[in-house]
Amino acid sequence: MNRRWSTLFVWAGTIAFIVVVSWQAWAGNPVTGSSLLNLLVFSLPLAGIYAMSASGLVVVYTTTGVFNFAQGAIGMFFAYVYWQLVDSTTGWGWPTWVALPLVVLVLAPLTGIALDRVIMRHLQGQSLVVQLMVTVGLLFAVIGLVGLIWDQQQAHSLPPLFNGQGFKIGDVVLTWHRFATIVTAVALAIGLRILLFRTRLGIAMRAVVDNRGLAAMSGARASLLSGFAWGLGCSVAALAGILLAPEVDMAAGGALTLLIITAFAAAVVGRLRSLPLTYVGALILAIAIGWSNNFLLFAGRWTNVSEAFPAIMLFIVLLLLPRAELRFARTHVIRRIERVSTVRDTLIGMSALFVAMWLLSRSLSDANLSRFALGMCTALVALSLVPLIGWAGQVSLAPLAFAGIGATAYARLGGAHGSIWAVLLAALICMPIGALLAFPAMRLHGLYLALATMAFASLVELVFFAQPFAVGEGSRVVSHVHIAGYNFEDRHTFLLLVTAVFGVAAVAVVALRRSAFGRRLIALRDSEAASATVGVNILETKLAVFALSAGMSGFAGAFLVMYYHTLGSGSNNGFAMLQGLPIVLALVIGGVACVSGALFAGIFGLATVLIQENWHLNLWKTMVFLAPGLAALGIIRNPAGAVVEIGEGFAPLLPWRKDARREAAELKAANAEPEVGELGLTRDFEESDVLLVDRGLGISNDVPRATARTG
Amino acid sequence: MRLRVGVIVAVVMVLVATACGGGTKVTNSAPPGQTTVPVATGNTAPAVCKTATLTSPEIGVTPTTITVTVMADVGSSIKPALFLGSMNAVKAWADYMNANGGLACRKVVVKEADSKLSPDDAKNGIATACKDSIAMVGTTSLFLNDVTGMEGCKDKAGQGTGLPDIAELQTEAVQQCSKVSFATLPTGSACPYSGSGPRQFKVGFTTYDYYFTKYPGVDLHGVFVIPKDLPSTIAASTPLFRAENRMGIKSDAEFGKSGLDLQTAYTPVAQAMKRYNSNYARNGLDYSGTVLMRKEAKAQGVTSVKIWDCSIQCYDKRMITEGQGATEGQYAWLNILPMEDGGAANPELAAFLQYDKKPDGFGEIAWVSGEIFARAVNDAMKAHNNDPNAITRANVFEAIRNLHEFDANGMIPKIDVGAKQGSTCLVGMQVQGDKWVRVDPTQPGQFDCDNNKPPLVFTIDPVAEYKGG
Repeated sequence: MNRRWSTLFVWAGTIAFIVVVSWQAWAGNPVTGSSLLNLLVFSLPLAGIYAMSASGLVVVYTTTGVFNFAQGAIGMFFAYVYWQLVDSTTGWGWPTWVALPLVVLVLAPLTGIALDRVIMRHLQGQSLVVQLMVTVGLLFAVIGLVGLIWDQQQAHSLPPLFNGQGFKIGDVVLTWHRFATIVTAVALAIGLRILLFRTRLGIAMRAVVDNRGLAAMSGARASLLSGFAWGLGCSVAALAGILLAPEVDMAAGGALTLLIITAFAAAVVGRLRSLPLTYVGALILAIAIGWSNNFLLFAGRWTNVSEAFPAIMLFIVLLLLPRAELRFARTHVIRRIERVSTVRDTLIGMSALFVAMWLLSRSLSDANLSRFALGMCTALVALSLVPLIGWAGQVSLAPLAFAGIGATAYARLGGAHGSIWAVLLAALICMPIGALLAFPAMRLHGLYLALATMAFASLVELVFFAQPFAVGEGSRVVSHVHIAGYNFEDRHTFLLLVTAVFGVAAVAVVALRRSAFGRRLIALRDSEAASATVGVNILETKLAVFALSAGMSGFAGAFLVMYYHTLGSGSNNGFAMLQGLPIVLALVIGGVACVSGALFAGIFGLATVLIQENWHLNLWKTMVFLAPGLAALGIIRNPAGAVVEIGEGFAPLLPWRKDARREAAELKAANAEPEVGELGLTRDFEESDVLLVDRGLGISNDVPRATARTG
Repeated sequence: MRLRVGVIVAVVMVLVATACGGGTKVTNSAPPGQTTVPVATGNTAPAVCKTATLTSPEIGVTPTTITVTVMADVGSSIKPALFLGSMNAVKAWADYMNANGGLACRKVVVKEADSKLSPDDAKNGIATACKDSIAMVGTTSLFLNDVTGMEGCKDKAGQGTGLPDIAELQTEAVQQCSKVSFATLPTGSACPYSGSGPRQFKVGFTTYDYYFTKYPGVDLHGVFVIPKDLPSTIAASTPLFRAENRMGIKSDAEFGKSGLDLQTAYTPVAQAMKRYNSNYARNGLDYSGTVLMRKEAKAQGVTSVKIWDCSIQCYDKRMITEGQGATEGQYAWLNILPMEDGGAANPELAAFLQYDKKPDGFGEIAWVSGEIFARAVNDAMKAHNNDPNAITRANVFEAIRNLHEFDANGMIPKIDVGAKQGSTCLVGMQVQGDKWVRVDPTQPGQFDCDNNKPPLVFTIDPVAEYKGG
């Protein structure tokens, strides 16, 4: 289907969707000039709020190339800082004219610069999933930090500007605070547009994102610009947080932090680069929500449809984006491909895991048996991402969506009686659904694909589970699977069952990695263009890997719901979109391309709980809050994953691993070479540096630890 | 995680506190300055403690200690310290007991389990408690949707007796209807219940009789906001609204709102209040949802509403501070004595305020949970010739199931713990200026029991009653 027809198809589908939804859920309120004016006045402040949130996202992405999940959390943090300064009862009671500039123009930029120095600068050249997960780690860390600093049992609220007064348009009062938000949003858009497109500074910042090396050769001080960009991003976040705080509950993990996810749709309308289009997106979203609030009634299976509007809009916009082109021009240096385990090694390792778990389980309490079982179920979910993200490079943020569909299939198709066939059906049903998601993947690359999967996960959470054919209003009770007449109802045997299932799945995954299909996936990750050139069928390969991953995830979901015993339709059923992000985060920390990384993902959360429970120290409680942030730092230092790094550290000690010792020696030699710096801008560029640059670009034949790729 | 925690708390507390209850009629509580028969309060070591040889008759009971677990949602990064007040209160109650001779000749030890707003952690907390505690006290876990571990918990003799759970909050029907779980403040929802379909509810008239008396001849009609985040939140809030309709408060408009909604989401709500000239408004979300609604109503110039109604979830000092003047006149109906009464009004409240250094409304209910447990232990001893070694889960269950009149020395109205029947007696509070003020009855230490008028009993499908919005 050519682009024109596909666009037409999406538009027709969108219009049909709007008509059908409006017809089905029509509340009966008359549509008059007055009611439409009210709708507009209602929507404008909301648009301003979404625009403010999305602006920061766009600014950071445009100037740093990083899509910052923590943008809302950073705004929330500075709203608290501002509250601390201005609140006259329990805060310090500073005047607004001192506190506001101090926070927005001093503290926020300094924090941005610090963030850049410590974390963000090191994201340059990292894979998309690493970049995303570092910001997810930061999101959790900021929530934890705010919870530690400001007692969440106490009131924290910021008053609106102008004492909540306003003026009337139609029947609706537009408060001066909201008016100020709209004006600030527009002013910010204009100002940022001028900064980014009309000043040398802005152009340099964008140039650094487009091609850091080339920009540096043109005299751009990349590191300085990066710090400035993050300072600017934090300033915008702080301004948004302070302006939005009077409109929301300021709880650390509440609306102020999560509003940014709603704003994704608006930002994508502007393709994450155009602020004016972002504002158009914000207005469309606000009008859609306003339309729903004023004219539609959603109940029963559609109760949460209005909350799914941002996800629906995000999905539609992504479908309307032009098809991503294959990229040939870029050449960048990456680390060598990770060592691939053999099937035999994996079999031995998984057998050892099973024996270790068997021995360990004999001494575990019931609670810890449960925790370990959940850890292994989580590892099974994470394993489903290894082929998709780790090998094929297709970032999915919907691991629990397919697990949820699989869980539903299990619950509906015999899970109540523990049917083994229901487990297999859960996997089979998810496979074609996963393949369907591959079609957007043919159009979208990288971040857009990740956001599309996130939108899909939201739709599953908000719409799918509530359908009568899925879970409906109540909940469904399931049993543990019965195999050969044996039920695995007790915690001990269930843990061993899940461990065994994980082991078998891990061996199968490794065998797959060593097959021609596995090599095709790696080729796809390295360069779709090159893969296509050598005859790899991109469509077929993507379809296969999405179907495979979805099937594995559905299979894991069946075990997950066995663990839960109950499947509800609410977002507390264990399969919510946001609950999937920590799994991806933990997988990336462990190593996204290896099965032991998935195992790490399973035990990551488990470890923090066990530490906290066994050592009742405040320090550990603090560490549990901040662990995701520290993990984010860990990812930067070890982008291949902690398990891979640990493995590489230990491997040379093994007598039979001559190859590991040779690699370690080469690595040591490579690390001994000096840093180039910024191509002579920060220090003299000497002849030896030329050789190093040549090596980096793959010009030299002597490339001890790096290979070049195109893509 | 898409958690709308406050909403869930709110709707449960709505049913608990806004006169949902009934069944057995309860008499008015003690008059001011006088307490009912002391139970655990002022508990001193009985004489038998000096002569008895203490053993370890049950899991969680040693010759020197009696261990209970308080499980609450505290350590979630999404909503840190949510029910820290409950944990603190149970520990404070243990300190109080130990300072007054302990319980069953033993020192009370409190173990903490953090359910972290997670069904898994709740389940694991139960599993741990099953292994090291005689009972769970003050349970405040919003996502406790699996009680199999609680019901199947084996005692020291290896029997599946179950783990006694004296819960502060019961959000899910499985916990409400579990044979081993008992609410500190029971709801009026009938059991057994499958989780969907029609269910019988009982709602008291106390609140509405107060309003009808205060505004005689006024045709009350208004706007209702239903928390729509989860099927369980809808199911828990619609019965109350339908009861109000049946009692004579007409519904001008109904809206479904989320705990994550912005203040602007309440613009249509405020518009509806103006359009219908509503004189009544009620939001089923937590206090912060009510604050947003009140602020928006103020911004939109709503002046017609005479009654801003709410239940115990609004009884929070943050309602006043975060409301910033917009929440003036807000009602909140409690089935505990308000802390504003002070220790002089009630000795139990005095003890709570003395031992709990950071008291709050949830803490107060958790304290009462502790007192129910203490009463059950003392009753179990009494039923077995004052034998301090008769403290087993089975005997505690027997004592709880036979506990039909309990009022924590007047700190709550009389409830039937064993039959899981609450009370229709309430205390009406209102925001006046910068503080909560008792308005019904005005005398400290007392509850309005509406002359023991029987509750309204009706059957509806609570989820189907939600028409959208």
